[in-house]
Amino acid sequence: MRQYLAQRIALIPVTLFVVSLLTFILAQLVPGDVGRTILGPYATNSQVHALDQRLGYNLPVLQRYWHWATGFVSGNWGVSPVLQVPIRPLVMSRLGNSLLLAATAFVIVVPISVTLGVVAGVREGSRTDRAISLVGLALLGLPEFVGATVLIVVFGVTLAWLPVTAQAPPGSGLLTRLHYLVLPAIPLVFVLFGYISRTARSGTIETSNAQFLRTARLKGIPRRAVLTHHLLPNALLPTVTVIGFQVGYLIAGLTVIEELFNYPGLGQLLISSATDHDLPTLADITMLVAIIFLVANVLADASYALLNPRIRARRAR
Amino acid sequence: MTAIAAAPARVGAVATWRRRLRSLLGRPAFTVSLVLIVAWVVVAISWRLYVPYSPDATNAMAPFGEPSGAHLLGTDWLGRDVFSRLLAGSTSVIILAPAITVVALVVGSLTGLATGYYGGLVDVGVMRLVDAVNTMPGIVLSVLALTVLGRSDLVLVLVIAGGFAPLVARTVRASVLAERERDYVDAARLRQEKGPYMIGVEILPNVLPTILVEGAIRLGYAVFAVATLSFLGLGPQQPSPDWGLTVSLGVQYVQNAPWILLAPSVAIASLVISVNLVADELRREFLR
Repeated sequence: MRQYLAQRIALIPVTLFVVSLLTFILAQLVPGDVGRTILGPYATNSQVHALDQRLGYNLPVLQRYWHWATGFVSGNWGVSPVLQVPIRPLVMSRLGNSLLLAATAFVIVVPISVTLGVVAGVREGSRTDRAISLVGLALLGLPEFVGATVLIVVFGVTLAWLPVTAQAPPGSGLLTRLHYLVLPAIPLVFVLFGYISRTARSGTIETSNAQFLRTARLKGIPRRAVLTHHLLPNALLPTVTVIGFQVGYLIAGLTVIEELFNYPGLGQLLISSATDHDLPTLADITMLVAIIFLVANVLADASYALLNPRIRARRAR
Repeated sequence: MTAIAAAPARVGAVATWRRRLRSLLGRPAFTVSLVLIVAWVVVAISWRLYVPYSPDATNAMAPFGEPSGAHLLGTDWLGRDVFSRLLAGSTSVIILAPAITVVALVVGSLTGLATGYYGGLVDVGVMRLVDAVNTMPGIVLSVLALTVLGRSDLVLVLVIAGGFAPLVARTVRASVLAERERDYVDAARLRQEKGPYMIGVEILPNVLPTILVEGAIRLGYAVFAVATLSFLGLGPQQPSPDWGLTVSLGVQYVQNAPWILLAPSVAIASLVISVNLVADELRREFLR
């Protein structure tokens, strides 16, 4: 396992290199004239030429890639030609906002979906199980903006229980900010619920049928103790990993929710830089997201190894 | 000789498929969902015959009309009939999502069949590439590609299908690897059948259920992806009645005219949930 993890970590730079090539080709080679793409058809040729020169787009291809890649690694991301602000501080502050929203969603979804998933698994085949599984399956495929618009109409407009914007008034405390994030977080909760509860359910079912659990029951260990000490630690292992893998999905979900609620997160910046043809910002966001995604996946794998009693025991020996 | 030997097997295969279909049609979740999907497909093809108003006909005198006898689902910010636009708006997703699924299935299945059957260096190389594509979150790749290549239906289909094909390839490959160890493959090999025959005639029919289920699952994701990208303004452009686009434009009127965005939202939900339920029933029937 340790070897496998080391292999995974060693592969990160390789994969990032491939991703950076792909990003570079899409953002800098395919458009042909990058300066013209950014400035649009109404800019004069000399303006385009000046921008190309400033961003280094008149250099040979290999040099351009080197210039961009080393700049990214050393944290020198340059200035957005559209917004006229340094890219890195902008992207990082947006990332912070997105993380707050994502954290809110996770805090709500993990306890609910794990509990309901385990309940469904323990009562496999019962009416409760059917209901939970069906709801999970239905929510799983529902695009976030669909769930969100229905929620806005019901809770924001008709009942007026929750604020319909995601951004608290400037200067408000963390608690108020979180209050504003509840409504935007729920559509993310919907989709995540499907994945997490499903994995918790199948993990529970699989473990219930294991030999060691039968032994525990036959030894006369109380039901509750069997559940908490024998079943759950084993049943929830895959769930931990699946929660880690949801980070990739979450990036898409956040983009939609931030756009819908006009929340200044990374996803909204992604869409606005696409609309403005801000290719340098777009390329840097792509790289950052790929890094987050890769690291999250490796952490998910690592958590599986760390939590699995079998693997842990093997290492102790 | 082979033809005679093969004939009963074919009859058996048809009977098996027929039995599975009958078992599927006996389940309400499957049947109801299938009827809903077929209904939307029929609407997408034939709405021109019976829409009460032209979906693009504006009426400056009656914007934000509440649902009424004249306008079943009300009117939007330009006084256009929401019900007519709802029906007409089905066309884009009903065309784009299956197109994405077909492209992803064809490319992914061919790759999976070839790499799974032949193995070796090609297999290793292609699977590395598949892993690399999978590390790019689809949304970021789609946004980047649609920005650079321009917003067109073709780019949209190719970008989403390009993200799906590696996933299909991986599933099909795993299934081929399992089939390759079976006796009938050895028998065909002893008859000295060639690679393309082995893949096309011997292995393909046996991995077809896998491909079918994978296709149904991908179709659900394709509807999701098309709806999401058009909501983000990267799909069909105004004045298209596309559902995702209509929701994103209707958000600003949610306080006064919620019906504008509720109608297409519910439509997307009905389609997506139906496709997912059908996919789930197919998975239970075929991949037990």
